[in-house]
Amino acid sequence: MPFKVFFIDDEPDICQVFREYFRRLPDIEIQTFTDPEDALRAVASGEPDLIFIDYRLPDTTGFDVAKRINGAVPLVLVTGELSVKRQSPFVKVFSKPFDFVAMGVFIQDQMKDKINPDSVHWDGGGVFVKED
Amino acid sequence: MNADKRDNTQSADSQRSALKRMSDIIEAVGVGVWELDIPSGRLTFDDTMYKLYGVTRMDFPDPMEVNRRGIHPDDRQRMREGIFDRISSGESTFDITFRVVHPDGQIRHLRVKATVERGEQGEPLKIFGTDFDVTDTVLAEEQRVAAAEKLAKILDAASVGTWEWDLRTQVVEWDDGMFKLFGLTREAFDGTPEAFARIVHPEDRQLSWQKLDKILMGPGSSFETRFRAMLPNGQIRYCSGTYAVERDANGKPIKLSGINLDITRSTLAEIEKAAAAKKLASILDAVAVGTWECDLEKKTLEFDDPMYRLYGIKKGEFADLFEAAGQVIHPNDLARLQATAQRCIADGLSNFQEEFRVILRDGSVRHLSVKTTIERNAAGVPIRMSGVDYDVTSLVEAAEEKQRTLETLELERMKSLRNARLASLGEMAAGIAHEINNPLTIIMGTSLLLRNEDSGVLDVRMSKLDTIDKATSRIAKIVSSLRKFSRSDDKSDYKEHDLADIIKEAIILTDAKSRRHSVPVSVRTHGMGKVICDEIEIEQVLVNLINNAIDAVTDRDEKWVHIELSETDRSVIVQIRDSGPGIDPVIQKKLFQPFFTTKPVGQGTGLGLSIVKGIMDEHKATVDLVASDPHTCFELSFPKAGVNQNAI
Repeated sequence: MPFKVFFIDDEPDICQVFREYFRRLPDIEIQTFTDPEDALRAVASGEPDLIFIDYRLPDTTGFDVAKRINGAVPLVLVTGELSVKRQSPFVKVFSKPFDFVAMGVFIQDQMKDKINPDSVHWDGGGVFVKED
Repeated sequence: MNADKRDNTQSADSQRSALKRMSDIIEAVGVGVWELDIPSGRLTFDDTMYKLYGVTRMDFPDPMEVNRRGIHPDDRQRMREGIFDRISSGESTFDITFRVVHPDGQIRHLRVKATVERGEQGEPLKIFGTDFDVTDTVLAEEQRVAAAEKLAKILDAASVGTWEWDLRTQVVEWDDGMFKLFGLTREAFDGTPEAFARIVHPEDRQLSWQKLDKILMGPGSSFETRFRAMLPNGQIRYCSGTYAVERDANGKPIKLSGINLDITRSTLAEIEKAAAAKKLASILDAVAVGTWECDLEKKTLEFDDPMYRLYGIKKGEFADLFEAAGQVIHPNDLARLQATAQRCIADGLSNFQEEFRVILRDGSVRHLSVKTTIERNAAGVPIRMSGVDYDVTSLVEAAEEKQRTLETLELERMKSLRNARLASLGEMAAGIAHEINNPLTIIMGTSLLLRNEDSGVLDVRMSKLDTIDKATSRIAKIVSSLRKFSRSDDKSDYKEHDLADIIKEAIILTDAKSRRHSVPVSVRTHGMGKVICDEIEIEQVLVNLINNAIDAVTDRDEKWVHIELSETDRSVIVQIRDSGPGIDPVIQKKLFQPFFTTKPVGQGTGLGLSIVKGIMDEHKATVDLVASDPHTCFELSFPKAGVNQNAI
C-alpha cells in the first residue's frame, strides 16, 4: 500500500510542482486538486494518509475545508498569507514559498509512522542532502 | 531706527502679501469716516460710511437722511442723548455701539468713535468720527453666552427639592429632591432646624437667619433668597429658595415651606457672562482710533491724544512729530507711506488708505491702518493733509491665524491622504503577499526540478523555464504597481494620461481581492480617455472605489463589478458599477464626509470617499453617486485633455 498524499491548491502550477517534486519519494501516491470539492469527494471515497490544504481557496478557506474532513487523517496547512497561525485540526503549517527540503523531511516522518520505517529511503533526489 | 537687516526679498514678498490681506480685511471690516460741522449742521460721509449703512450715495446724497433712516429706532434716543451729554459736558471723545437697519432689513452693529473739536471758548465746532462694523464680534459673543446659559438652565432644572418646617414642633421634613440637592442620606439628617442650617455656607448663614427672622416677624408671607450650600463632600452648590410662611388666625407663624433649586451652573454661567462682557469690552477697546493733521505749508504735524497712544509715545516727548513718526514707524513701511503720499499729492488725488507697522518701545509691533485726506486751496495746491489711524493688529493677527489654520488643515489633509494611501496599502498587503508568495513557490519548486536529471529532455526544460518566466512576471507586475505607492513626496504630478491605462493598473492592484471574494471585475472602454491628472492619485481613487464595490457585494448572491470608460465632447467619464442595489438616501448625503463608514469597526478608515472627493476636487473633476441607477454606481467625470473647457 503506497502512502497516499492529497494536495489542494487552486494554482495548477503549484500543484504540478508539488506532484513532480515529491513523486520521486518511494511508495508515495500523490493526487492534487485545484477544486476543494473534488478533493472532498476523493477523501470520502478513499481515505488518504496526509492532506495539504492551501489557506486561500476560491470562495472558501483551508480552515473551512478542514472542517468538512472527518477521520484521523493528518492535515497540513499551506499558506501565502502574511499572518495565518496554525490552528486545530492542522498538525503543521508551511508558509509559501515553502521549503521543499523541510516539506520532504516532514512527509518522510509521516510515512515512517505509517509504514515500516526501514523501508523508506530518501536521498533528496540529488537536489539536496539531508544532514545526519 | 535702522532698517532690519534680516529682511530680505522673500520677507518683503510675504509682507506685501500680508499687507494685501490686511487691506482686504480693512475693506471687508470697513471703517467709515465722517465729519459733522456743528455751526452749519453739515454732515459728510465717505464711501465706506454709506456701505456701513447699506445704502449708496446716489440714493441718499444727504448723510443726515442716511442717519435718520438707518439708525435702529431703539437706539436713536440713546445715541442722541449719549452724543449730546458728551458734547455738553465738555468731553473731547465719545464711543458708542449702536445698531443700523439696512434697507433689506439686515441689522448690523456699528461702533462709533468720535473726537470733538472745540473753539477757543470750548464751544464745539466739529465732530470727527469713525464707524466700524462690530456685528460679528457682538453676535459671536452673544451666541456663545446664550448657548451656555441655555445649557446651564436645562442642567439646573434637574435638581429641585421641597421642604416643610413645622414651627410649633420644630420638625423639618425634606423630600427626596432635598436629599439629592444637598448630598445627604436620610440617616445623616435628623430633621432639626439646626441640621438644616448647617448645610448653609458659614458666610451665608447669618444673612439667611436674618432674612428668616425678618420674614417671620414681619407681615410678609413669602420671600426669595440665594445662598451657597456646603455638601458633605466639601463641594459648594449655589441654591435659590422660595419660601412661604403660613400663619394662624393671630398672625403667628406656624409653618414655613419652601422650594430649593440648584442654580450652580446658571450662577457660574452668569459669572462667566460678566467676564465675557468684560472681555468683549476689552476687545472693542483694543480698536484704538487716532487722528492727526499735517499743515503742508507750515510743515507742522499735530496728533490727538489717541494718536500718541497708538504710537506709544508721550505728549511733549518729541518737539517734532515728524521725527517721532520716523522713529516709530517700521522702516520698511515708512518709505512706502511717504512715496504713496507724494504720489497722491502729485497726481491730484484727495485721499488714500495704507497699512503699516509701528514698533513700540517694548519692541512689540502693532499694525495700523491710516485713511488720509488731502485738502487743496482754490488753486489746487495741497495745503493740508489729515488722517485717521486705527489699530488693526487683532485683525491682522486674526488673518494670520486663519492662514495658519488653513495651512494646518492642508497639512492634516496631506496626512490623511498619506494615511489613506497606507490604509489601502495595508488592505492590499495581504492579497499582495499571497500574489507574490504563490509564484515564488512555483519558481523555487520548478528550479529545484530543473536540476533534476528527469528534466534532461530539452522540451521539458523549456517548459519549466516558461513556468518560471510566467511566475516571475507575475511578481514583477505586482511590484511595479506597488512602487508607486512608495512615493515619498506628496506633490501632485499632473501629466497627460490615458485613463484606460490607469484603470488597468488599478485592476492589477485589486485583482487579488476580487479573486479572493469571487467578485469578477470587468472593464469596457470607449476611447482611451485622455486626461491631465496625477496618475497615482487617480489610481488611488479607482482602487478605493473598486475595493469599496467589491466589499459591498461580497455577501450577495449576484456578484460583479463593472467599469465603463466613455467620452463626451468635453469630458471623460468613468462609471464604477456594482451588483448592489444602490445606496440608502439617508447615507448618500454623508458618503463623502471624512470618517463616515458603513464597514464594521476595524475594516474601514472612513477616509476613502472623502479622500476620493478631495483628489477629484483638486483635479477639477467630480465624483458622484448616480442615484438614478438601479445598481450602485459611482461616476467620475474629468475634463477632457486638450479641450478648452472655457469655450462654448
